[in-house]
Amino acid sequence: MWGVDGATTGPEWDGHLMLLHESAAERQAGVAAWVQRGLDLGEKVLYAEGPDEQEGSLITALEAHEVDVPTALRDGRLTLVPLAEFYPAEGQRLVVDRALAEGFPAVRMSVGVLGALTILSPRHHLSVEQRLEELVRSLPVSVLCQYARSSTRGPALRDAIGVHVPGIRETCFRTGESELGLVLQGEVDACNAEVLEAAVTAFTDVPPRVLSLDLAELTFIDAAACRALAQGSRGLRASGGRLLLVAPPPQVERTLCLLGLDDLPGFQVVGESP
Amino acid sequence: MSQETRQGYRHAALLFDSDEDFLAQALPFLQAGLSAGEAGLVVCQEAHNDLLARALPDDAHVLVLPRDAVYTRAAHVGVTYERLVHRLLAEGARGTRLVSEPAYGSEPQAWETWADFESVSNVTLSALRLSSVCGYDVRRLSASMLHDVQRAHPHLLTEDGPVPSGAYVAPADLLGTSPPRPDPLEATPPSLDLEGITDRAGVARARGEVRAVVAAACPDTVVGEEFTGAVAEVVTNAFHYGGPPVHVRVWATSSRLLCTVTDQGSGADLLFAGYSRGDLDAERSGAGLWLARQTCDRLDAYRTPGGFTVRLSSAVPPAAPGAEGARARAGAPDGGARGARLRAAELLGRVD
Repeated sequence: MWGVDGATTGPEWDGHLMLLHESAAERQAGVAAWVQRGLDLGEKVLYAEGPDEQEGSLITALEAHEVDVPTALRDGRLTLVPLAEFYPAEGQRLVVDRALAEGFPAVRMSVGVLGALTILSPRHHLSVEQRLEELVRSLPVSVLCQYARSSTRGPALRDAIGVHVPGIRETCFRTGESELGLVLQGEVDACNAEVLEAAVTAFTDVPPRVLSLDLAELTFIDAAACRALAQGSRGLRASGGRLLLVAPPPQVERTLCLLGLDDLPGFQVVGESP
Repeated sequence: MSQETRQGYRHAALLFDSDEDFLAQALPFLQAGLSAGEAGLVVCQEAHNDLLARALPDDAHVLVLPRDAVYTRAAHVGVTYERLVHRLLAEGARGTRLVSEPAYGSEPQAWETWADFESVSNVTLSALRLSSVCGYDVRRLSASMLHDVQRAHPHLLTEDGPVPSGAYVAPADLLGTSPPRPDPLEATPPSLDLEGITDRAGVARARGEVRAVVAAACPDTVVGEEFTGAVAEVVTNAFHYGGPPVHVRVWATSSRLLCTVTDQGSGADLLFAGYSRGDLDAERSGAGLWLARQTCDRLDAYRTPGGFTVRLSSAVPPAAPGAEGARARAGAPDGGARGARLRAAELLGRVD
C-alpha cells in the first residue's frame, strides 16, 4: 500500500489518478511519491496549490519525504502554478503542449479538488476531469487529482470515482487495469466499501457482457465489501451480463464463497483450477 | 408426528448405551418417515452409518454422510443441514428426518460450544422442515454432559417415538440470563492489547496486528486467516454500530485463539442473531455477524461494566505434516493467478 508510512514510487503513480485522502499526512505522502516518480522519469511536474493548502506546504512535505526540491525547481522540472493558470479557459491541452514544447518527454499535473472548486462549478470540474482523462489517454500525461474523503461523499464521490475507475488511490485500497479488466488491490472493508461499490458500479455501467475483476492482489475482503461487489454489479448482472472474479487469494475466495457471492446470478469465481 | 415434521424443526435426543439400543430407536424413526414420503439423512460415526444403511432398503430415499464432513464448527453444522434439507425438499421429499451423532471434539470448551448450539438451534432452525434426532452414547457422557443434552433437547427419542424431555429449558432462559463464563485465558496477559481505537486507521491497524499475532501462534493458515477475518468483522461492527473507543485484546497460544472486542455502545442481543446468511443482493443483510460466526469456533456477545463485549475463540489444530508444502504453494510468485487469468481470458473471449 502507498499509505503514510511507506509510499513506493513505481508505475502505480502514472495515469489519471484519484488520491482519496483521509488526512493531511496521507495526502502529502501520496503527493510526494507521485512527484518523485515524475522527477525519476525526467518529466515536467506541474503543481497547483489550492487555498486549502498552506503556502509552501507542498515544498515542506516534499522535503520531508526527501524529494530534492531546490534542484527540481531550479531546473524547471517542478513548477508551482496558480490555480487560474492550471485551469485556463482553453483547457489543459494548452498547459500540456507548453510543457512538452520545453522538451520534456512527459508531463504530470496535480491539483487539490477543494481548491479547484473555488474557481470552477462542480459540473464544470467534472467536465474538466473528463477532458483530462482524454489527455491522459492520448498524450504522455499523468494527472493526480486530490480529493479529501471528508468532503467527497454520496453523488460527488460516485461522480469522481466514475472518471478515475482504474486510478483510485485510497488509504488501504487501489485500482488498476489490465487487458482483462479492472484490477483491485489491497484491503476492502466497511470503511471503503462505498469506494469499491462506486468503482464497480462505474466499471459495470456498460451494455450487458462479460467483465472481469482481477483479485489476485486483494489481500482482505469483509462482508460489507462483498455486499459492495454485489450491489455495484447488480445492474450488469440483472440485465444478463456476467462478472468474473479472477484469481482471488485463498482467504478472499473463502469469504466470497461463504457469503454465497459465487451463487448469485451473474457472478463467477475463476480460480487457479477449474 | 409426520404431520408436524412437515411444519418445522423438531429436535430430539437419542440416548443409547449399545449399538443394538441405537439401532432399535433410530431405525423405526427413519422408517416411519420414509413410509410417509419423507427423506432420511444419516450422519453418524462410521459403524452406525453402516448399521443403518444395511438395515434400510437399498432404494430408500436416505442420504448417508460421514460425520466428520458435517461436524466442523457448530454454527456451520446448522448451515449444512439447512442446505441439505432444502435440497431434499426441492427433490420432492415431503419432509426430512435426520439421525446424527454429533462430533464435538475432546476439549471442554468444544463440548460447551456444542451443547450451547444444540440449545440455540431450537430457535435458529425453528422454521426448518426437519425432524432431527441427535444420538449420544451415554457411556461416554459425564453426568453434567448428560444434563446438558437433556436441557437442550425438547424431546427424547424412544422406541415408540419422541416424548417431551422433562429437563428441557428454553434457549433464552438457558443461555440468555448471564454473561458466559470467563475464559481461563482471559486471566493471563494478552498477546495483543489495543486500546482506544477511534478511527478508521485504527481499525485497519488492528486488523494487521491481530493477523500478525494469530499467524505467529497458528500454523494452520486457514484457521488463522478465518479467525482474523472474524475479529475484523466484529471490530468493524463495534466501530460503526457500537461506540468508539474500541478495545481489542487477543490471546494466541499454541492450542487456542481468543479475542475480546469491547465498545462503549449499549450493545445488542445477538444470542440468536447471525445464524442465517441473508441475501447480499438485499438492502441490509447482517452478513458480517454471520461470517464471523462461520469463521471462528465460538462467538459470545454480552454487556459488561466496560461496555459491550464480543468474545471469539477458535482451537488451533496441531501442525499437520505436509502443511509446509501447502504454504510453499500458497507462496508461489503469483499465487496461481496466471492459470486463473488464462481461464478468465478464455471466458471473456468466448462470450464477447
